[in-house]
This record gives sequence, structure tokens and C-alpha cells, in this order.
Amino acid sequence: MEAARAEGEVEVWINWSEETVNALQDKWQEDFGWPIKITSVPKSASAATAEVIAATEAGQEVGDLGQPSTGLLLQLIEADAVEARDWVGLYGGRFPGVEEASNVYFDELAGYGLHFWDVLYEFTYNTNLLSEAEVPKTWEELTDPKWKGNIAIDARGYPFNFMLHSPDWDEASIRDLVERLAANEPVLPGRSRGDEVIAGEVAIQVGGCNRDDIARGAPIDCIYPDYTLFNPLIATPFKNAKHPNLSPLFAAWIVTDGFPTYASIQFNGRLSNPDSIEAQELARQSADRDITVVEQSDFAVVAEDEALRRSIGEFWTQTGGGG
Amino acid sequence: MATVAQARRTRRSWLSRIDQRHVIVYGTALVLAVTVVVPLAVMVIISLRPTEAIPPITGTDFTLDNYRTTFADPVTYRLLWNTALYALGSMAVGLVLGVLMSWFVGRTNLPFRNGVYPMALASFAMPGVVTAFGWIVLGRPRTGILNTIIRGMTGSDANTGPLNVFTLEGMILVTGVALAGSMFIFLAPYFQRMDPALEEAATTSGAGRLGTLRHVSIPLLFPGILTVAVYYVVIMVQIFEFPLAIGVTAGVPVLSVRVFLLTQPEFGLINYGLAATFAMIAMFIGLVLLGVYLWVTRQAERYQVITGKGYRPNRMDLGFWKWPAAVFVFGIFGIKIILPLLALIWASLLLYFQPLSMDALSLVSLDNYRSVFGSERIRNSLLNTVLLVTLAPTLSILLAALVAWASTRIKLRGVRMLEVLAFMPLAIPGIVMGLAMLVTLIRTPIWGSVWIIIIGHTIGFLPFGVRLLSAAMLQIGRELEEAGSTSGATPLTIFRVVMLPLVLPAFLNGWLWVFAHSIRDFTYPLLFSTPDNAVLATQIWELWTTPDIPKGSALSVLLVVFLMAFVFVIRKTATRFFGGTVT
Amino acid sequence: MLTVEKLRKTYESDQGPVEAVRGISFTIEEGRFYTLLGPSGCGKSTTLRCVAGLERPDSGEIVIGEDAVYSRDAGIDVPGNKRDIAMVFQSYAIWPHMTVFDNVAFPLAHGRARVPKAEVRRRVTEALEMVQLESMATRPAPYLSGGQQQRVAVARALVSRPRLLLLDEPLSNLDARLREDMRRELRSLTMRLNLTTLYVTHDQVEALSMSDRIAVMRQGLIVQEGSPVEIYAHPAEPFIAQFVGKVNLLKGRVVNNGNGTEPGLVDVGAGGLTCFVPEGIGANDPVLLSIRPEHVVVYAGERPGATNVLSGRFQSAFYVGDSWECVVQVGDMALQARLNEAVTFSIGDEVNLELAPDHCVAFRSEE
Ligand SMILES: Nc1ncnc2c1ncn2[C@@H]1O[C@H](COP(=O)(O)OP(=O)(O)O)[C@@H](O)[C@H]1O
Ligand SMILES: [Mg+2]
Repeated sequence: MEAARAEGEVEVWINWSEETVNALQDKWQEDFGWPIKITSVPKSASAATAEVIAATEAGQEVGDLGQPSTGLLLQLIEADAVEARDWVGLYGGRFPGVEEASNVYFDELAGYGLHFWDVLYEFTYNTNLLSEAEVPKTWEELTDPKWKGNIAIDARGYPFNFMLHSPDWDEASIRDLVERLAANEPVLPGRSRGDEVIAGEVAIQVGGCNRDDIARGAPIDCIYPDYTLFNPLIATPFKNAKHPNLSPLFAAWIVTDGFPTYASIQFNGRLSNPDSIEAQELARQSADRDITVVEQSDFAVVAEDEALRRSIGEFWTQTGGGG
Repeated sequence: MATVAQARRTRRSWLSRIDQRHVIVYGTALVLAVTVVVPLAVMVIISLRPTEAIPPITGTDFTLDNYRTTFADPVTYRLLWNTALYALGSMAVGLVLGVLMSWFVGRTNLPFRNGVYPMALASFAMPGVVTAFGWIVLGRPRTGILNTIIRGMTGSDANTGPLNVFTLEGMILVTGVALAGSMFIFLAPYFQRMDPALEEAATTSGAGRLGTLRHVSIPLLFPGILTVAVYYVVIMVQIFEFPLAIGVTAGVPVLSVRVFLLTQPEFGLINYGLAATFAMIAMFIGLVLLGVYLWVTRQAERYQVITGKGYRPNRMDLGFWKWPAAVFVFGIFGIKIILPLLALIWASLLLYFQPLSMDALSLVSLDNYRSVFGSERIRNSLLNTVLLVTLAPTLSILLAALVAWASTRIKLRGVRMLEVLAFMPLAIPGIVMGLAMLVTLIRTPIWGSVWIIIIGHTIGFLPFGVRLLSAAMLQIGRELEEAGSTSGATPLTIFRVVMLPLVLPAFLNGWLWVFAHSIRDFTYPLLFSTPDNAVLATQIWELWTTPDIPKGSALSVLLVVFLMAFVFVIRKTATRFFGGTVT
Repeated sequence: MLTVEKLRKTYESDQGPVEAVRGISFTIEEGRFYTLLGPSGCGKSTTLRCVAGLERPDSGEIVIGEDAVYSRDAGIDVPGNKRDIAMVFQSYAIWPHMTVFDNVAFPLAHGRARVPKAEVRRRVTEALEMVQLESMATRPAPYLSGGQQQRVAVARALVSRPRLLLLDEPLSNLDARLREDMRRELRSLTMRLNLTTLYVTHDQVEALSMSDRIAVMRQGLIVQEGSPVEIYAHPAEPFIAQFVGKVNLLKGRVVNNGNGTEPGLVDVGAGGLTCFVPEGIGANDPVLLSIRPEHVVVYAGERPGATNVLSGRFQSAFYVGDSWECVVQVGDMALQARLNEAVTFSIGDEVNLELAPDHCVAFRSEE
């Protein structure tokens, strides 16, 4: 603890707004009675992972904390860029929630990080263009030609790879879906959220829900499709962290005592928490239709889904969408 | 009086016999070799390693697998075909516009023609991603601002079109217009410095205006125009901002985007092997084009019509047509800068993007600017940015001046090689060069510091400086330097006291050009990005891809406005000092 | 002071190698004014530039004062900026971005012979006074007339007090009047400063009027060296005769060669002419007989005691200010003559020409 205090700084390779950073610094001061300085380096989880691997290989220091998906964490482990810890033994006393958070779905990943929050892939729709009733509720409905030119999909290949975790889908059927969606000539931003749907250029965007934009008043809302894809993110300190003492402490804190502050600004939550927006929305929407949340259960698939994502990403960038 | 037989034949010590000219030539060659050739060699090696090998390159197993995979894949040929269409198409559009502009500015009484050059220079300031975004906002089918306006004006009740940037044609047009301004900068001198006497001679020989144009003006200008055309094909093969932003959705993948995506962790683990292989293809094309380019410039120089004397060009009186012509010339800048800038300003005033409408007007606020100014991260990146954009242009242009000087003035064997070396970065896409440097330097302390970006830009922007400065130096009479030598000055002193001041206008223009490109380029900063070396361009890119388009727009607007003001101030000051020689 | 020995220089050009200088040797004594004279392209500038260290010769030796500055065999090549010389260029090479003062101060401020600031000021002023430009010191160089720029170039060359002054056609860009003034000024300056000077020109008047010695060059070789008088009066070849002034060349055949001691006789078709026949030319050999127009006398009727007379028909006369340049048709030859008094002949008049025997020289000719 003293060593952590002496470091006094933590650099997260996650994109947090200034507002989040400030709120977290205040909360830390309140919880611990001493200040830290949080630096957020805005990198996507995949970018951060690739860089950490390259830099670790080269023997360079990297940031303190990332939030890889299970697949990316697996890559980090294989590249020897992260270390396992006894989280409960180390921090369980101070932060009781650590015990629950230390469950990261797979034994193979245990100890390398703590369950942070969940990305749920939804259909974001423009409320000026569509009412909730008009929005397609299934992936199949999205292939209807009436949505031609009216969909935006992440060109990087997300989130179709996560369908592999569902017993109802396999690689062939996923590719078939992707190809039929391509016939609808989607707009292909290189990201899973964007201004296309907010601006009304497309009516529907496949991706994570921009709850912060909704809070700002953007004319969008989200529905959960029949197979709601699920991507748990894991707060992971890196082996070559600049602040090796503070980074695990900070990880333990952010997923427990610090989490409410974080969630209230970033609008990210855990499905396992029944009070989270995600859980409540899910409950509301599943009242009148079947929604399968595709959880990750088979570790073998974790290693495969990232490869599938890349391959779908190549498909998008080489075949293109509309036009 | 000593006879030859009696003369003292003192051989001076080896130290005093070292010829400064050799030091300059070989020193420059060494710098270039290390910075250009070494990374490329590494690149070649990586392309020959197994696909999954991660640099640094320690293994010894070599294979042609990457090449086999690449050439067996039909997609590769589609990439090449698209690349050719796109590069030639946008070059042609830019060339036609650029030639027209140059002619209007150089040879006619176009109103406000002195404003064109600063505009062209300022138009560099806008980063490619930002311009592309501007164009998407303007020209996307449903909510594109231009489309909404056109549909409103024509009373059409369709909800898409009539324009669509997400097409090959859209991409070519947008890029072509974006190019016109910078092509103008290259083309204008050919028009400005052509001796009107040559044309007058034709006219007095009885040739009509068209005949003069066909038989004299165009043949005389042709080599110059050809040089610029080839130069831009080289550039267009590498440009990826537009193809990335527009071409992916349009379904027109090109080579440069492929290389870029293979190096982007966003799209999966970096596949160094395949990236290197595609990079080699891009480089091969680049080198072939570079060969053509050097050959064409050689022809053009042999054929020089430009004598550098002070002509008073006889300007053609356009009469009434000068007004439509001015609308045309400034319209291009309007389309290139003003429209996207307006789109950006609009986006920067909203907390989330909305199409232009009365309703949206009520959402306007300056919050984005406030948070941009309030952002510590952005403030921190300013220092790096300042370091980068002062050092990179200075080093690059100085090195370019040395290379240009050596290759135009110093008669030593191998000097020609120096020029070829200096032009190599032109043939090598920034992405490839950056990647090569990345894998070469990854184990050194330079990696992760702003210095790696500075080096990248210094080398990456070298060809332009060399071109500009050799052209300028060719026009400086040889005797001006020789007089320095016979006055007893050393070569370096001559370079410093005689040559540099004489080419100062070109030097300054080159500096500004590199400055504008350095501040907006994000290829190198992104490839080398670490928290410690973030620059403004990286911040913009990060905001852009996060995506936080409102703040990204706000920062872009600030950058563009600052750059325009800067270019304007520098040029004003320079004109005061050099009495209008800075064109 | 300067010795050039077996100097050779070949340029590489797109059309293949150009042998600009093909082995020339000469020596300039201390304080002398030495001129390389020859038509454009004969290699004068190349020679000068090799001496200045601006070109690297292929072979030969160059010795300035006591020191070899170039010797291929000894492996010596002193860079131009370390040679104790100064040079004036045909284009003046005045730096347009500097003032007159800065231009002249350059050798002292940035050159071999650097001196303290105050000394620079003193010597630049002195040099400017020598060329009467002291009032223009602060003027930017481009705001000078051609003649003034030329003086700046001279001042810049003199300011460092070089041992050897090199001038490459310094007057050829000036108009005729100015050229004459400058010729005189330059000569008196070099005399006053006792400067050793190597001067390059294609203008025979400059060469003849300024030089102590002249070397006439043709196609990369020195074809004759001598004092101005020797060159003018005894050209070694018709080419030289033609180059250093106007000359009549008459085709003829030797009747009697005079054995090199006494005048010989040459038949030029229209008559036999007494003239000097150099050694080695035998009877019946084809020759070209040369005589300068000023040594041809034109008159009508008979003149007692006249020798070497040809008769012809008066063709034309041009008034050139101080004399008349006339052409007389003799058979199929047109002969030039210079008349100092008013011409009284009309075109078509029968006239006689006397060709002063002392000034008639025969040259070997190829049939
Ligand atoms: N840099 C050069 N490259 C090729 N040929 C040259 C060069 N300089 C001079 N020459 C050629 O060498 C010959 C002699 O040139 P130069 O010495 O300048 O003659 P001059 O000064 O007597 O007129 C000419 O035929 C000229 O064309
Ligand atoms: Mg010459």
C-alpha cells in the first residue's frame, strides 16, 4: 500500500473521458485519503493489446491497466505480457467485491484480471426514423432488403465472432449471415459506435449502445436482438506496468468501490448486477420476446473467435458495403 | 620563381586534405542510407519470414510463403486494379484543375490571383481524415448536407441522393479536388516562369492563339506537367485516408488501405509478414514509378524553358470572363477547404452529430471547445507537437538542401545515387516506411519518444524538399558559387553564406510545406504512438476513432484555423523581408 | 609565378567526351599580364578554371609561386579555396542578396585571409576606392549597372591581395565605350599593384592592348605564344593572322623561296609578289600569302618605285570613322585595303595595289 501510494499515478490504456478521470480521482481521495493522478490513454482494447505485446517483447514499459476481452487476454497471456495474482488473498479483505470479480469465466484466465464490465451488442436505432416496434428484433430480420443502405456495421468484424459461443451458430452459418448482410450494402465505419445512426444516415447500427450519447439527448435508442452477443471485459494490469504496485490496487478498486462512480459516468455496467441499465433493459425487452444472451462458456471458442473476427473484418474491408 | 621541377610538392596532412565536399556527400549518403536503406532491408527480411513471426527479426528460417499467399489470392489483383483506377483517376481530375488554376494565375489577369498561393498552402493544413470526414458529412446519400440542400432546392421527395460519396467516382472526385491545390503549387512555376518571348515569337511568326498554344506553349510545358503527373501518381498509390474513410464502404479496397489495415491492431494482431509483403508490392510499384519520374524530370530539365530571368509575363486579358474564372479558381478552394471546414465547424458545435436543420440549431454550443481546451492530454501533446513541427521541417529541408546542393553542384562520382536515395521515401508509402522504422527501432530508446516521429517526418518529406530545392538551385548561376570558392571560402561556407540565402524563398516554402504536412500527418505518430509522444494529430485521430466526433471536429477546426493563420503570418513576414520573392 | 605544365582536361558530356584542353604549358613571370586568346570553345576558360581549382584536370601540373597546387603524378590537388588566387567572372557573379560592401568583404570575412572587423572595413573601403565605388558601399548589389557590378567584382578580387589574379572575359558584357575605359583602368590597376594576371578573352584588341604576353589557343592547344607585337606582326599561322586582325589571304605557289634568308617570290595568279617565305617551304609549294589591309596601298595610275603591285577594279568602300575599308577585285580575288585619306575612287575604277613586301608573309597551305 505504501509503495502504491509512493507511485501515486496510474496510466490506463482505456479511453475514459476527462469527466470520468476527475470523478475517479475525487472518489479515490475520498476512499483512501491520499490522491492519485489518473492518465487515460485512449486506445481500443485490441490496439492496447497489440501494443502491449510488441512493447513487452521489446522490453519496454507499458501502461498500467487495460480492459481486454477474454480472447485478447488469452493473447496477452500467451505473449507473457500479464501476470497472475491471488486477488482475493491480496485485496479481498479491503474490497469484498473482488471475490465475485475474480471470476473471469475461465480457469485458464483466472488470476490475470478482474471482471470489469460487459459489452452487449445491440441494434442502435434512430428514434426520429423508427419506432421501437419497427426496429428489427432478430439478426434474420436485419437481412431484409428493406434495410438496404440503412445499416451501419463495424468494419473490424465485431460482433459476429461472439456468435461462435452460441450452440445455435457455427462458422458457416455466421459467414452466411454476414454475406447476406453485405447484400444490404451497409455503411462500414471502422468502429462499433458512430455518428451514422445519430445523424440519421442509417436507421440501424449494429454495435454497443451509446448510452452516454442517449444521456446527452441524442435521438437514438437500443434494442436487444434475438441473439444478444456478450463480451465481458477484464480489468488487467500489465506485467511491464509503469506503476506495478498501484496498478493491481487500482484494478481491485475500480471493479468494486470505484465502480459505481465509473458506471454512473461511462454508463457501462455488468449484466450480473440486476440494477444495471443493461439488466433492466434486458428484463423489460424479454418480457414479450425471446432474447438469448450468448454467454461465453467454452474456452476453446475463445481462442477461435478472435480469428473469426479478423477474417470477417477482412471480408468487410475487401468486399465493402454500399455504393 | 620556381620551375615545375623545383616546385614544392608538399602533400598536406591527411586531415587537411579531407575535402569538405566529400564529407558532405558521403555524410549525407550515410545518413540517408541508415535512415532509408536499413529499415527497408528489415522490411524485405520480414516479408521473407514466416507469417506469424513478430519482429525484431531474430530467426533464420526464410520462406516465400507470404508472397505465395499474396499472389495466389485473387483479391490482390482486385486491389491492384482498384489502386490503378483510383490513382490515375484522381490524378487526372487534380491535374486538369491544377493546370487550369496555374494558367489562370500565371498567365491571365485573374482577379485576386495573389491570394491563390496562400490558399493552396493553407489547404494542406487539413488532415486527410478530417477532409474525408467533411466530405462524408457533405455527400453521404441520406443526410449529406449537400444532398439535403439539393433535394430541398429541387423539391425532390426522394430520401437519398443525388450525390453519393461512397462510390469510386465519389472517391476520385473528392481526392482529385483535394489534390488540385497542391498540384497547383508544383505546376504554377512552370507557367509563371515560361518566357513569354517564346510565345511571342510564335505569334509574330503568324501563328494564331490556338496554334501558339498547340505548337509552342503545350509542348514547352508538357515535360513539366508530365513530371507533376507522375509525381502524383506515386503519391496517390500511397494515400489511404480517403480510401479508408470512403473506399471501404464503397467497396473499393486499394493497396494502401490493405497495408494500413494489416498494421492496425484494431483489425487484429499486426500481421507483420503479410503487411511487409504488401508493402513490398506497394514499394515495387512506387520504385517503378519513381524510375519513370526521375527519367521524366531528367528529360524535362534537359529541355528547360525556365531561365529564371525576371520576366514580366504578358498576361492575357480575360475580359468579362475573369470573373467566372475567379469563381472557378476560388470555388475549388471553397470545395477543398471551406465546405469541409464548415461541415466540421457545424459538427464541432453539437454534442452529438445532427444533420443541418432548424431544430438542430438550438443544440449549438461551445462545450466541445471548452473541453478541448480543458483537456490535459491535449495540452500535454502540444509540447511534442511544437517540437515535431519545428524540428522536422527544419531538419528535413536542411537535409534536402544538402542533397540538392550535392546533386546539382558537386561533381563527384555517385552523387546521382544520393538523389535516388533521397527520392526513395517517395516510392515508399509512409505506412511502409513507418512500419520499417518501427520494427527496426523497437528495441531502442528512440522508440516511444517524439524523436522517432521527427526522424520519420524528416526522411518521409525529404523528396519534396529535394525536388523544390534542386529546381531552385539549378537556377542559381554556377559562377555565384565559384566566386565564393575563388574568394577562399570553404564549400560549407559557400553553402551557408551564398547558396542558402539565395534559395531562401524556396527553402521557406519547403519549410512551410513540410510544416503543414508534419502537423497534420498521423501515419507516423500513430504507428509509433505511446503516451509519451502523443502529438495533436494523434489526439485528433484518437478522438476521431473513439469516436468522439464532436470533440474531434473541434480540435480539427482549431488546428486548421491555427495553421492558416500561421501560414499567413509567416508569408506576410517573409514577403516583407524578401520583397515579394516568396511566391 | 604561375607555371602550367602539360595540362589536360576532358569533360564527360551526353555526346561523349570533350577534350577541352589537350596538353598546354606556359609560364607567367611575376607581375606580368598574360592573356589566353582564342575563339569561343578553344579551352581558355577551362584552363583558367583548372588554375582556379574549379575544375580538376586529367593530368599535368600547376604551380603557383613556389607551391604545386595540382600535380597528378605527385597526387596533389589543393582545393580552389586554398589557392592564393582571386578571380573575376564573365557574369561578374555578384551576390544579389548582399550589399556592395558585403560582396567585397566576403573574401576577408569568409575566405582564406580572414582579418578583424576593423581591418575588413578599412580594406574594403580601400578596394572600393580603387574602383571608384566608395559611395555605393551600402547599396544592394542588384541595384547597380553592369559597369558598376563589374567594378564590384574587380574590387572583390583585389581586396584579398591575391598573388595571382584570374580574369575570364571580364569585359565582354560591357558596351564598347565602357569596355575601352575598363581596359585601361584594369591594366593600370594591375600595374600599380604589381599583380600577376592571367586574362582570358576572345577579343584581339583587348589582348593586344593589355598584355605583356599572349598565348593564342585553338582547339585545346596553344598555337603561338609571344608579345603582342610578335603575334600581330609574325603570326605563326594564317588562323592566327586572321584571329588577331583583318588579313588578306591569297592563294599562290612559291617561285623562289629565298632560302629563308632573303625575300622569296610567290606567284598569286595575278602576278608575282615578293614576300617572306619561312623555312621548310620549297619552290613550287602551294602557299597562302598574307597581308594586312593597312599595308595595302591603293592608287590610280603609275607610281614610281612601287613594288609588289597588282591591278584590279575598285569594288566598295565603307567609312568606319578614322579610315576607309575598301575592297578591290583582283582577278577572282577580293582584296581588302585600309585607306586613311578620303577615297576619291568610284566603283568600277581601275586601280593599282601595292602590297608592302615587308609585311607579306607566306604560309604553307594544303593545295
Ligand atoms: N562543363 C562542361 N561539360 C562539357 N563540356 C564542356 C564543359 N565546359 C566546357 N565544355 C566544352 O569544352 C570546350 C572548351 O570550353 P571552354 O573552356 O569554356 O572554352 P572557351 O572559354 O575557350 O570558350 C568547349 O567545347 C565546351 O563546349
Ligand atoms: Mg569561356
